[in-house]
Amino acid sequence: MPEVLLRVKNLRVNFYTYAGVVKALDGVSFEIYKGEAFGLVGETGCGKSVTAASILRLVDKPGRIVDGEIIFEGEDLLKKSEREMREIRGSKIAIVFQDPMTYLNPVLTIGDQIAETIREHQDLTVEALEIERNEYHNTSAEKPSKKALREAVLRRVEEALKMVRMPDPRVVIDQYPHELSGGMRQRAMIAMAISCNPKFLILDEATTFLDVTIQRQILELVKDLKDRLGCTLMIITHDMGIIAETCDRVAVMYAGTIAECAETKRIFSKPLHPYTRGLLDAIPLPTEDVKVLKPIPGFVPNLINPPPGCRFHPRCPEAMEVCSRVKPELREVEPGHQVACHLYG
Amino acid sequence: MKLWQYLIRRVMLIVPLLIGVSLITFTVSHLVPGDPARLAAGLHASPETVEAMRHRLGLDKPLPVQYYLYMMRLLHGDLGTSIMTRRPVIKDIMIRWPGTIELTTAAMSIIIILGIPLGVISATHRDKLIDHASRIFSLLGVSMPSFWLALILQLIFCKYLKIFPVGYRIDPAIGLRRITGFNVLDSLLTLNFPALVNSIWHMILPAFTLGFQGIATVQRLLRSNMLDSLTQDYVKLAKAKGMPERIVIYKHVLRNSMIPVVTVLALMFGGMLGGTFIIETIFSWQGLGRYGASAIINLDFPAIMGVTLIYAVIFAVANLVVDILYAYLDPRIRY
Ligand SMILES: Nc1ncnc2c1ncn2[C@@H]1O[C@H](COP(=O)(O)OP(=O)(O)OP(=O)(O)O)[C@@H](O)[C@H]1O
Ligand code: SF4
Ligand SMILES: [Mg+2]
Repeated sequence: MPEVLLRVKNLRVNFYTYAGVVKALDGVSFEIYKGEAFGLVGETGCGKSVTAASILRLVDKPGRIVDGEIIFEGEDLLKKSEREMREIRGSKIAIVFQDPMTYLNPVLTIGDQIAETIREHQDLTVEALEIERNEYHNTSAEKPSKKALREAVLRRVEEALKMVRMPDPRVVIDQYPHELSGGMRQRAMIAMAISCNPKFLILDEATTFLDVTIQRQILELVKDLKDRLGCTLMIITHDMGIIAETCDRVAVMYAGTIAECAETKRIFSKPLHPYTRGLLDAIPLPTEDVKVLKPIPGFVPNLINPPPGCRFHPRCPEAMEVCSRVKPELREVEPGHQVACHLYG
Repeated sequence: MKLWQYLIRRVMLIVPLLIGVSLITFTVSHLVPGDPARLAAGLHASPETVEAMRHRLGLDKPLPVQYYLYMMRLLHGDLGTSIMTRRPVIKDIMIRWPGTIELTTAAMSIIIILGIPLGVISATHRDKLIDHASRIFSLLGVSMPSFWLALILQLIFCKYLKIFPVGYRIDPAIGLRRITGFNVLDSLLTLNFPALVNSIWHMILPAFTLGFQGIATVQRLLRSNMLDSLTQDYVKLAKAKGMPERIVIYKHVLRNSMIPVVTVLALMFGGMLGGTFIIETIFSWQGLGRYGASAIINLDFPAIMGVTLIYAVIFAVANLVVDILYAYLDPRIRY
């Protein structure tokens, strides 16, 4: 039985807007095992980013986590103090966002932005003392000088940039985000995320804004980093292709709920939920003409007044009478394969 | 382009600026009604004396000729002779410019020292009592005319509370050796502590009055910039990296929000130079503004021209400083 790193249980998040209460997450549950690459897939607005933000306890203002548990390494993150959360963010749990142009601070150098993360979370006294001894030949020092500490941080920054195979790391350290290409910026953001050896790395649409070749390079890099650092990944995307290439297991989200969760192979070979089937039909096979792409009919529901019962029922080709009344619970229908649908209950 | 190349180009641009400013000031000041020859000769002088004075001042020549002669002398550093003081304008200006620079620098410091913290507090305590209080303060700031504020402050602090002196740059009873003309600097250089305290004491009310609107402007602008910056993605990332509130606000948010504030500070500096005409007059402050104001009243053409040109130079230099600061704050700007 693989060890569970993160367990999200019955997570509910509401946004209290002027137009009404947006029930963005309506009882989301899933588990992520240590060392795996877990995918979270779904159409835009289904709540993927809100799920990620909840894990970091950084849900934006009118939003609030109203119910649920987020158990990370056996402890409920929702019960932690803000201070404890701050220590976890960036060190144990790190995130890479989709658009490195807006997520990097335009007026700070790349080196500075990576260095501040390291300074905040890592105690580099030992490294700095070593530098003090070996390079400044100051053997009597008990506390490292500021200079040695700065040097130690700088080396860690360079190391992080080398890890993400950034070309010319020494040059990039002093550059500003606008001086880098899109792919390099994304590498810089990944370097920032891995700079403190996180156990859990979330990639929220980390390759969406990149062109296909660079997207491929970044995904390769991420897979490679996962093996080298031994971290666990959560890959958020709306692209089934990326899931197929990178993830061990996947959860399909629909309108703030988990529709189906299983091993990736299984989802592709034997999708059970009608929504998953629709999603898979919607991706063009390489041999197919793109024109025959079959979109799922209907619209993503409005989450202020979501459809009662199964939130997918207005678009579901197999909807039954019970579907509009009773919300289907997520249940295991086969070992390791969970579905929330009345067809399987 | 390198920074020094940019600097040279900017400094050279000051020349056409001065030509433009001089042309406009020259034309406008000679078009206003009034007879400077009559004012200079005295109200009871005979018509002959007035004509003689007109000739002596060169006012009988056609305007373009007058302008040409003026510019020729300007090239030799000669700004003509003041009609009011009967001394070379350049000498009058040399005596007075440190007073104005000292006053505007003090006002600018007050704007920065008060405006920026008020803006930060407002933004970080959005919609709390302290935010409302500082917004009311800034509303007062932008809506109160400075001459009115000056009179009210004089009434309260000088007449009734007797905390601050009514005018002048320093108590004449305190001897201060003039080295640079900047009182604060001179008293530091001569280690004259009483003079230092006394001149700062004299500076507070006029500098505060001059800077009051600026405090309000900076507070409002910084507040809205910071509120905007707080919703930006890079703040989200900084928080996701576990950065403490202090670093998020003072490093990530403030730095980005200061960029537009610096531009406004530059514009404000120009406005403040204009404000010195009124403030220096009300506070009997020996500076260029007061000199300029009485020059206008007395139709003292050479003095008006001199003050205007000097103000244009000060303004251009201030803008240059701000542009350099701007490049430092915003790495996306390169020359
Ligand atoms: N600040 C907010 N105010 C109100 N509602 C919000 C806010 N942020 C998110 N939501 C709601 O939460 C829902 C989920 O948003 P989320 O950003 O998680 O979607 P997503 O699955 O990440 O989509 P995308 O693929 O576009 O990134 C949205 O439909 C939206 O209604
Ligand atoms: S519960 Fe009903 S409506 Fe929902 S997916 Fe299953 S069959 Fe379709
Ligand atoms: Mg998203």
